[in-house]
Amino acid sequence: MDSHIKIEYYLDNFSLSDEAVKVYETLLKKFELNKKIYRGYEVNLKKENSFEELTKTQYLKLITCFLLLSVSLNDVRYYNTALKIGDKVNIELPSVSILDFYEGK
Amino acid sequence: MKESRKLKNVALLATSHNVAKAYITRLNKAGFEPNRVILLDRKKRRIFQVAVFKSILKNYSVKEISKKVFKKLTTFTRSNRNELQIDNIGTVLSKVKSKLIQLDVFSTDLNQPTTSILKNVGWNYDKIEINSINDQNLINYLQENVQEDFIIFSGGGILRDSILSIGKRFIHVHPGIVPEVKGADCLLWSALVYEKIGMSSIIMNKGIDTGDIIHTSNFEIPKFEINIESYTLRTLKQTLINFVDPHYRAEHLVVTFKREPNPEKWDTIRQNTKDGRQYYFMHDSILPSVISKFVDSKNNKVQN
Repeated sequence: MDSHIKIEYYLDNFSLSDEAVKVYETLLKKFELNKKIYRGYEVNLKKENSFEELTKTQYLKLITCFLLLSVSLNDVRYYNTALKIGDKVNIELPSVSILDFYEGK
Repeated sequence: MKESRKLKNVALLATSHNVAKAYITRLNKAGFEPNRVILLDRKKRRIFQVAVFKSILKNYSVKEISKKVFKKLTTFTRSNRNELQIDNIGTVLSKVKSKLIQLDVFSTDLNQPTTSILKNVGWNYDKIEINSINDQNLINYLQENVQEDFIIFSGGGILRDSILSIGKRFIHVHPGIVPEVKGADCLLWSALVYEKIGMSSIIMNKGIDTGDIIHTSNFEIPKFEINIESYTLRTLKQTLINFVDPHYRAEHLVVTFKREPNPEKWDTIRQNTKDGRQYYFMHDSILPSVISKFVDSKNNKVQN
């Protein structure tokens, strides 16, 4: 059994499984707090066990995953964080009519 | 003169923040007065001023420094920092004020020091100097001098375990309905996601907005008659956060005490920390959608 989680796997294999969504949610929190994501974390995702940060290409994949999550889960937080990752890697994301996300609750 | 009801087992931690000013005024208007008010005075600002002063005197004689330059270099306040980035703030604030008065949510003009507001309402207060909200000075003071079990928190940072574990119960008003909306910029997220302003009074714990719930309220989003094309995103966001949010928090605090003035009788609801969502600071690209909810539809184009 792997002793750590390789983030690359989740960037290359987008999934809406409970396990994958939990990983993506943790990555969202980690980026918001630390402004960076590392390539490997311990199994519980509490601590990184790689000191290598994601490459620009990997950050772009993460943005893609977050945009997909934003629409699938109707959760604007992923779009919000994707925008910030875009700022970090100097990529302007398409503007979205946010009001289309919500029809009022 | 209306006699106020003392909130016997309650102290207020007052700061220079607008939330504190709104709390003081609104509580007083509703006839409530905390048993004790503790005004926190940040030492850092004065240290900054002394450091600048010493540095200037090293290089120049007092006669060489013009009064204007000297004043500008040695005055640093939180409100100055906001005002530097805002143009025409007066016009925006007057429109905001008139709408909030109409909705009976307005507490007071927030562009005045907390000490003036305390003087206006006639409340005595203890003043203590701190470096931060988690200062050992403050912890010692609360443990040695404050008999009240409940303390109204009015901002100034995130309370750490060191102060939360001294046995006092800190009352906080969060600008979102918990557990659904936790975290940062929640006034804005509530407006966007739930199309309303939500407020929750909670007893703080070491989690972010995860404390036991005392009471929650919803409010309609106010529609301000402002021409938003005349203002930057930054101005509009700062107006909402610093000059609209505090009034709603104060109104909710008063509602909390009106339901039951004795906090010992409050029935609180424990949150499941896994419920709800944690929100983070809103990216500028999303702001226009939110700000448009706070203005009349005819004034709906925000410049970036």
